[in-house]
Amino acid sequence: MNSVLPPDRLTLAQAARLIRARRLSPVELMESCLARIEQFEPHVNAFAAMTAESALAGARHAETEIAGGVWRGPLHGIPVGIKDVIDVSGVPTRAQSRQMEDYVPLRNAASVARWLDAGALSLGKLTTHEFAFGSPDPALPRPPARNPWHTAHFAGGSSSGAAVGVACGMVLGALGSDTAGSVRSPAALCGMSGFKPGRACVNRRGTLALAPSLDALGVIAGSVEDCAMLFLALVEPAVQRAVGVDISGYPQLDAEVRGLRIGVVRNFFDDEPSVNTDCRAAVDAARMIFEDAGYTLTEVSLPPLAQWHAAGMVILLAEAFALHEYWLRTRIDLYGRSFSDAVLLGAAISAADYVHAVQMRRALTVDLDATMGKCDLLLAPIQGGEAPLLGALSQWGFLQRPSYGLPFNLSDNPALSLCCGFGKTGLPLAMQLIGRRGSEGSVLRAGYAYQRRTDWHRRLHLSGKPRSLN
Amino acid sequence: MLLAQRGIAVESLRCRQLVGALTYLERMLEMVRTKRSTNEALVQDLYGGQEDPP
Repeated sequence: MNSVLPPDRLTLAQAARLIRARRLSPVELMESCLARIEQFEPHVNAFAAMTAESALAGARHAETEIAGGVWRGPLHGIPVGIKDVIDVSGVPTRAQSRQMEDYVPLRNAASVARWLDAGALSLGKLTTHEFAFGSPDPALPRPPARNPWHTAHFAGGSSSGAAVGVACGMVLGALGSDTAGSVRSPAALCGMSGFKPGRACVNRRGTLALAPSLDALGVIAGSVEDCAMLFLALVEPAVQRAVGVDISGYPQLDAEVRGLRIGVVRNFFDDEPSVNTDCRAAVDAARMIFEDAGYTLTEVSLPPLAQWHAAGMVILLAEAFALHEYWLRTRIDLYGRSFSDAVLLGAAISAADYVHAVQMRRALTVDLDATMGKCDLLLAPIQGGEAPLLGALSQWGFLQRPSYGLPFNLSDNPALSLCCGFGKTGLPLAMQLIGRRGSEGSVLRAGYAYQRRTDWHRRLHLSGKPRSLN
Repeated sequence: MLLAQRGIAVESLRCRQLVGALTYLERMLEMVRTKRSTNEALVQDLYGGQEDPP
């Protein structure tokens, strides 16, 4: 089988079409991913555990199936990775914590089972922050993932290994979890596309919770089209139909967008921490692309970011403390300091405070819904600029700096982060698109329309390897 | 003391560091409490947030 491009330069969508046409062998694609793992993994630490042998055996099986006329859908024969808080049968779920050292699940998480049934091949578990929270901590079992654009920089979190694995072409798609932006932020800092759907879209059975009322599963890939393919394989047929899917299972993302309105959330760009000039310029340029695509852009405002952050952090810390209180009491030494210090703060939150935060969440969401009644989509920041240096991260940064991702975990709207340029130091810049609840398809279509008119998202893939490692 | 009441043992140096971080959390708690501290909000909450009987 001969593909048009070398396998290590293909997007998931391109690879899927070539595999179906029998112009690319799943074995050839898997071997290309394994070669990239050998080349890059020692520099970027994306994997918590690798399952190369079973992945390669799966690729051989997929090749046989496809040659025999059995094609399971667009993910058949596609190498993927799974964040290490989501169960894969027979592979340890360590969650980057010594608390979980001996835990080997006996069955797949519901999300993983769906991907594997669709023919995806898991290359392993992707590294995270401890229990998907806190910051990189040198005392944890695995070293932190590093940004492939420059390995001295932060890869984002907590689905850091997922973003890095895709950015390096070691996997073509990854499954992550997102409680306060944990899919969208690493995707943003690594120049990838990251999609967090509404919580109810993807079954979370077999996934370690952080804050159950905020947790959602999401996907990271090299493009919005790739994200859509990964997402569609995770959801029920009703959601697939709502997004738009053709008879072969490919997403239908081309649609008439003329007249649809995008509200730019102006105050999120100006509230502390303010967005830097490079990122503002990149988003301003993106606005023109959306207008060119047919969208109408207006400016809107939402309640201040600080209010979203207050309600979200109180809820997150209270729920996380409730989950971990027993281990904090009985074996606190097995936690890293970054995670346990953060979660210990939850002890200071009273039941009344938690209820107040839940009420505030409801009020904020009502305000957001009123704004979304006037717009089809929102455009907001996801990061204030490029990835910071790993050494410049502060342990309490998550409290000091409001997250641009958390508001849409509180409101449960689908949200997508995507690359919209590069900053002065050559690292990616990104923006965030948010849709109405239940309108996952409109978010994906807007992101796809943008990426059809730009090539920011393809730079890493086209270069063949991360620039900092050349 | 909060941690001790819950049976969580943390050495004193670490407790002092946590107290520093608590100031950030206190600001958030203040914001969350203030947001619901008007008479109107209280009455609304006492009625369970419902304007009309179910």
